[in-house]
Amino acid sequence: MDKKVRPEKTTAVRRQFLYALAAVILFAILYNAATYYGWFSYSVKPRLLNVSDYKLYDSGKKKIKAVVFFGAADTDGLKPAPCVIFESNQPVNEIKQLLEKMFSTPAAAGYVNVIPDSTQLREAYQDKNGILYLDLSDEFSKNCKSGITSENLAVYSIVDSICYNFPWVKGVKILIDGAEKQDVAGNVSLEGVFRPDMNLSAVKL
Amino acid sequence: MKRNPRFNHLTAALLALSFMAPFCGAVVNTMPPVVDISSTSKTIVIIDPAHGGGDYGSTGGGIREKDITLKAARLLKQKLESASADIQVFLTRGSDTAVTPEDRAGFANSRNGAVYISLHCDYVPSASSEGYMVFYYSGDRLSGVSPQGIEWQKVQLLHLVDSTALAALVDQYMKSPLIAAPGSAVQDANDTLPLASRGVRQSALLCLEGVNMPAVAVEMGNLNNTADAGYLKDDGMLGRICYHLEEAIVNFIKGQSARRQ
Repeated sequence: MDKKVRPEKTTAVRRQFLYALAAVILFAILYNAATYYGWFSYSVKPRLLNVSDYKLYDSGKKKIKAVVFFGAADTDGLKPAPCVIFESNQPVNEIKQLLEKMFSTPAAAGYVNVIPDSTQLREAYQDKNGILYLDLSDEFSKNCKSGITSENLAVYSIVDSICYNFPWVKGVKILIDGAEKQDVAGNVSLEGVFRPDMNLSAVKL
Repeated sequence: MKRNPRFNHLTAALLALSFMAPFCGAVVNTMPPVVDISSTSKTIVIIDPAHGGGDYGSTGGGIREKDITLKAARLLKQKLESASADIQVFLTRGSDTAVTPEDRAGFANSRNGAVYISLHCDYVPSASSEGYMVFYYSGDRLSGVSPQGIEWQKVQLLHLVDSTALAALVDQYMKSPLIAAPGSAVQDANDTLPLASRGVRQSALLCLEGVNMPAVAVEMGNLNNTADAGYLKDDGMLGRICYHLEEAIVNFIKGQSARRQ
């Protein structure tokens, strides 16, 4: 019996189908790898100016003494440290100066750094209820060491520093890259408004 | 063998789909399996080993928080169920898997737990800071509101008084000398943990949100401290920590029962 010979047309169609299938599989692998490893971003993140991109103060203005709360080197709490900022016509500008100092100043002897590395202040604004909204870069969350204490210290270092120096601030709401996030680094919730917790530094408001 | 073209194409298509499916981000149910507890009259204790799966938690001293919390949870479960035949213990995760905070709370609530304890290992930036700490949920206490009438995340506020009492009891038992448990590694008759107490504190913790029963989170030690990391690596010490926790929970349950009578 003669062996049946497959018609050429069927073979060609079959070959084309297999090529198409291989192309689809290859595309799927490359697409998922690119998305997973972040080779490209298909949603362009709008880049707002960070507050460090523009001048926050006039060095000819009056200097104001302020207090910032850094991590204490010998306990699991916070410790006050003096700093100086310049007076501004806009109170929120003074807060921005304070935070810029906190984020850029390395910890001195007797202190430890509790603000996650490379954290930047994107923007700060207040509402009519005295709640201050802080828009921080996502390094705050990404670079924060996971742990209830480390996360609490990162948050309250900022909140206590603001509320201690600016009593008109009733609470602080933290946003990450302009949006609400569920938690700092897996433990402390970022939902809701933070009130100051001066127990961490044993300092009275 | 006679080849069937259609069968080959179908096989190829199925292979391609099965290869692509894992990358498609299919929704994974993280809820632990359902167990029928409707007939039980036992007191249910829920233990939550923090983190898991791709979420390592804190790391330090060569250990990962998720591994220690799971080990401690299993030990604590064993000790609680041995301590009393009236106690049944469930874990929010029984293996190294990632479970969302909502699923953990949902699991606990669906089992009508009497007590919820979330086990953690801390990371304190100051390496000299050592010891355990006990947390309860922060917020203003709610009263006179039924659980159906408030946001689910705030339901823990209904139990703030009991959670505060539980936190204080856990702290007390962790720092108190107890009669050494049979078979423990302790040389003396009294078992006093070498861990310092960093106290009891309130915090807005994700692991306690939505939990509809008295609940606390225990940070068993600071992984950034050499001594604490050493204790948590040691199975014998972990067993002793769990023994103290077990005593605190058993006494809390007894106190709650006495108040109800």
